[in-house]
Amino acid sequence: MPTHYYLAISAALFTIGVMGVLLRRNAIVIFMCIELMLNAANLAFVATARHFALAGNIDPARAMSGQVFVFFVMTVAAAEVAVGLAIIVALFRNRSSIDVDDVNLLKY
Amino acid sequence: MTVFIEAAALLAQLLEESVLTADSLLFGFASLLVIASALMVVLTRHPVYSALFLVLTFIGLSVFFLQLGAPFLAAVQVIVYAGAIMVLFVFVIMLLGEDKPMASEQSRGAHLPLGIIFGLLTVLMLGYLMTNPSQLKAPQGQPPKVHTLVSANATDSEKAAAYAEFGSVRAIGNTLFTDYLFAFEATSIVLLVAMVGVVVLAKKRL
Repeated sequence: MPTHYYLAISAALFTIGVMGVLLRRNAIVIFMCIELMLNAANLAFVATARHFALAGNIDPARAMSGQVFVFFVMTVAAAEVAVGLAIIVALFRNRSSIDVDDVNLLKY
Repeated sequence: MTVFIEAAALLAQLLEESVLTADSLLFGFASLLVIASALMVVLTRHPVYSALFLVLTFIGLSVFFLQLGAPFLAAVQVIVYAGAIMVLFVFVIMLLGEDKPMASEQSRGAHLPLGIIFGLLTVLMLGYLMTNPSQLKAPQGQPPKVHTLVSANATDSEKAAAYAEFGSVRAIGNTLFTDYLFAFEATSIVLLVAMVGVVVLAKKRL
């Protein structure tokens, strides 16, 4: 399949993630939508890595950088989920709610 | 019954004419799965259903990774995302007992038009960036030095073998542990900091 098909799917996935973050109020679901956006970026990385490897004028080891970056994205995502969920647990302990509209201490 | 037979014959004919190859069929199926389940993550009101649809999204993405010549990443995607990260999500949902729709989300409220506007803006921006062919040209100029699987005076068959190895565990390891060794080590610090941070945040009394 051509590379831009995958990039279109990646763009759609990223947009759905953005919409989720904007529309939902459940903090856990907002975190899931951030995961969606990170995965859209991963798909774009892998698709362009193959694109440049197939283009032929690039060393395949150099094009592998795209796939290696996916590893780093996954690691950062895992760290981010762990810290974020700990924040949500701490929040729930203090306010008995994970509604992001209830947490507006820094708003005013 | 004859309808099914005719449909199967039509499908076989399309496969013959390679308009509809197995590759594109798989792509269509996986993209339907990914987009539909990603939409359901946002639209369903139960957090647990959101988590389960997120697993479906990750599985569809791993099919994409298989198609794109990244079998190892596909396996890691299923193990790390669909396995570890999703268990963490479901665990926290169940721990907090927030497995019911939230009262404030019963009405969609004033966020919806704002969300649609920003969503469309994102579609336009990403669509321009990602479908503009000039963005996908291979980088020009002298490439930076990399630890390569192909030596400078390699024969054509050796070069072909290096290209065939693209996406394999060996190729990933070769890049990860040479060119990105520092980033790899820095990643371990990130994980350590995250671990300490989680303990500090979640423990009631240190």
